Amino acid sequence: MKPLKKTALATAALLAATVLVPGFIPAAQAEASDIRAGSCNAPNFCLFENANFNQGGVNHWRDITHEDDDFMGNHWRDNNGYLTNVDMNDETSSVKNRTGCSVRLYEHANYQGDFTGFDNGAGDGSLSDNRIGNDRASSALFFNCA
Amino acid sequence: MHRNRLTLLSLAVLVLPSCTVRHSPEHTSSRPPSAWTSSFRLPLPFDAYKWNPRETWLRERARHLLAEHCLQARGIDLDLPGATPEPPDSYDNSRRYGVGDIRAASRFGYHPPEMWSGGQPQWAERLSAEEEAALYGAESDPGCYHQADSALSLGTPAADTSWLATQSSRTLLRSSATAEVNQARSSWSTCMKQAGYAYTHPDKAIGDPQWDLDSRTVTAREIETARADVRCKRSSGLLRLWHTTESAAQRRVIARHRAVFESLTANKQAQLKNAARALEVRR
Repeated sequence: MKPLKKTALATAALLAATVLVPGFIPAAQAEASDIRAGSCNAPNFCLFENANFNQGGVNHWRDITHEDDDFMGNHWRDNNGYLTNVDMNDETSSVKNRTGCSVRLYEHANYQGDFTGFDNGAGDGSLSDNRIGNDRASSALFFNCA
Repeated sequence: MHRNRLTLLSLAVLVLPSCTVRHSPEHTSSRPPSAWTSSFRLPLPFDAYKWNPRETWLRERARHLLAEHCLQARGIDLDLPGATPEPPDSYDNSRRYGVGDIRAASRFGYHPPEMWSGGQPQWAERLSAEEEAALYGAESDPGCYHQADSALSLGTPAADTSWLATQSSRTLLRSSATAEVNQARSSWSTCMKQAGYAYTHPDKAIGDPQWDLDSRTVTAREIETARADVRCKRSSGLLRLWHTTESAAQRRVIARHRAVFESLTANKQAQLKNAARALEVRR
């Protein structure tokens, strides 16, 4: 059986802790509040559900630091850092790369189909004007890491 | 110097084991794939209007040079990542129709070979807050990468890259759905069954939950399956038919929209000219 996605595992652990320990508030979530739209720190590859890094739109975002062969089952985080129930597959509209690596977004899962590369420091407020296109990214490959 | 190159080199050596292919015990090969290159590209008519690896590499070198000068002007001495070997001067469609390169499949199974180029993203983790802000920008300051990008796009003519993205996606999807390609896909499935693999579609084979394409572990079973996959894509004609069908579709699009493609060429050439000038001037 394929290992569950790290996101799914984290969500499951979070849910289990919440259910098993009454009054439990996960530390990361308890501390997170009002995450600014468009914020992105090294060493993350930051994905945003809306164009212009969510500025002016719903602040659904996700940071990744390594490959992801299938976005399906991974959910966006919200303005407070909480996982939402909105799946991020085929839903990315803008990105920022602060990984120190080159990152390719592929149109299909398992690094297949059309792709667009983002060098370190690249930010694209509108994926519609490159090959991956708007709302089409399904996997991310990190390479040429420093 | 702010960053000690020797320290970086030592760290690079330390992370090397994680950059090698880990085969399962039953697999005999353990050659590290660090110098992987492939001539398998599956060229398509749109390629000339996209950025191939060498063009991207040239632009990136110029971008880094400009960003480093910008940082120095701000009193920050920082080695940027990106000093990679010169890549091929041709666009890479090798995974456009799933795995198709028998050499890559024999070594990496369903994993993309690029996963083994470079190390881990540790450079970015070591950035100080000041360096990060200067490089990527902060609230009131767009940062040095932004400054470099602006310089490289200075005076470039407009081009509808969004339109090209849509066309590229459409030709892939439409060619995938033609009767000929569907028939070949069915033949692929029959071929796989005869080889002992019960997959109804190539996506089921590469997406088999037995393989973890997020990790750098490649099992012998994955390699055997990927090799059979490629062999069947060839014997069934799937790879050739899909590629031929999409090539024809892209040629038709180019013939119908010559002016748009000319503007795409002009835009790319202008950006490359700016990059070449930056590399010359700043050397």
